[in-house]
Amino acid sequence: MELKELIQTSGEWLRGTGPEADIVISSRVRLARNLADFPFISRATPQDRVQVERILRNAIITSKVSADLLYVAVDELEGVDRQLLVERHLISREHAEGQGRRAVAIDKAEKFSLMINEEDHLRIQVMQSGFNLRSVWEQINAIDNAIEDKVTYAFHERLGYLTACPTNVGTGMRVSVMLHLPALVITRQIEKVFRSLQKISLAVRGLFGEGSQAMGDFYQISNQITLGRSEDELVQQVNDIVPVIIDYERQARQFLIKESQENLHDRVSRAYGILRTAQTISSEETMHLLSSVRMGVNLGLIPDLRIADINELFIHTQPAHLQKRTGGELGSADRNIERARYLRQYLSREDGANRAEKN
Amino acid sequence: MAAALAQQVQQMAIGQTAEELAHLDQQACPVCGITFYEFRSQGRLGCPHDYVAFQTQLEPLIMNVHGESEHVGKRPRRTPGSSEQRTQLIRMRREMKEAIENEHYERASELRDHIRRIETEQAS
Repeated sequence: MELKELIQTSGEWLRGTGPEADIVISSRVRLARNLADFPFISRATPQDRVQVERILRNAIITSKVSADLLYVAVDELEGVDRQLLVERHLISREHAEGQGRRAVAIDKAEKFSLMINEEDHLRIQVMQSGFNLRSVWEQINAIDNAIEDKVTYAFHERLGYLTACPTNVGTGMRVSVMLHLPALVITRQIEKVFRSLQKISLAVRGLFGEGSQAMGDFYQISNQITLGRSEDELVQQVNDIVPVIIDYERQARQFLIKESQENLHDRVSRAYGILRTAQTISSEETMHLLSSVRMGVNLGLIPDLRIADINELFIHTQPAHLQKRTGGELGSADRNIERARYLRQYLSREDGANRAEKN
Repeated sequence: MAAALAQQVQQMAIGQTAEELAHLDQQACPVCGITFYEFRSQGRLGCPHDYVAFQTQLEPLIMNVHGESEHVGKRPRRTPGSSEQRTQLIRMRREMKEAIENEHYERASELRDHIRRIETEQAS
């Protein structure tokens, strides 16, 4: 498997299937682990990094966590390829922009990725489409066990798994769900939801994680606390709160329909119209309009489109994906033209395909 | 997260005299050499032993962030064995680097042999 094959596909977490997939884009768990006999990344020499990378690469490959694994030396990649991996959520921004020897191992279905030499020596993440945290936790636990058979993790009797930042110590675990909450944004209730989440120490972030903005009405909700609770409890905490938020979002959607079905239908149809006809369009506007269209599809206002297609468009209209497809570096103005061209082509193709199916 | 941490560290500073703070800041980890001040400014620790070396400073910080001080989750099936020996490796690799920088090549090669011996023992 090669990196360029990625742009032909869209990865597990964009499939648009699984429980509550209209609102829950994906479920994700990540574990932070460090080798016991090396300094953390901030004090690691270039030789330390090379050794850590070699040890973990061997451990990952020999533990056979996947039959078809793509192993990428991130420090040897071009900027656009690193960005491509960020856009697909396979590596973090920090990993893309970091320095020194670092790598990522990705399974072919893009269900999981293992970052080496990010903030911690090893960051394992497993992602799945829809609301399915239990299953994600079971998968990542198995991967963690398989690797742990080959290496010795830094572990403290009382404090648990030791991490470079004390905010991750203990389980080293972050449980998160990516939610699409356009109706809560339109009805201006989203801030209220965030405040109540913060009170129970859950964090809210944008589409690309820490420090990123909530583009396209996507919000990532995750646990803040990692110590003093078991992994099951951490999964349960997020598991319990998600249905409540889903319910709020559904109520807000029903409210919008009841209040003015015409206004909502108009908003959605205009968004769809612009996406199908624009000649130049920014990433921000695309996300904004796709968000309306996505809600429209879920409410049956746009019958011809599938959720999986819209999920794909959210990622395939990002800068690195556009540039990989055209095969060259594009400035921002050219990207906007290319993005509009891609959207027109994709959406008219969808129309055609669906009409053909119906006939 | 790093910003939140910096805030926590600031809060922790309240109630301690400037002298006490300066003293705590200067403390260095004997294994990786990072000072508590360096950790405070970067928000990242230098090695696993820091949790032991800076226990006094980190405890209130950890309580602030997590509201708990004891891990109750998963444990590695194989425990690190002698963690003493593990951190020793980190310290010796650092000393070897310093020996080379200071052109103490004899000391550096002694350390290198010692490190290799421990690494082979662990691998077997």
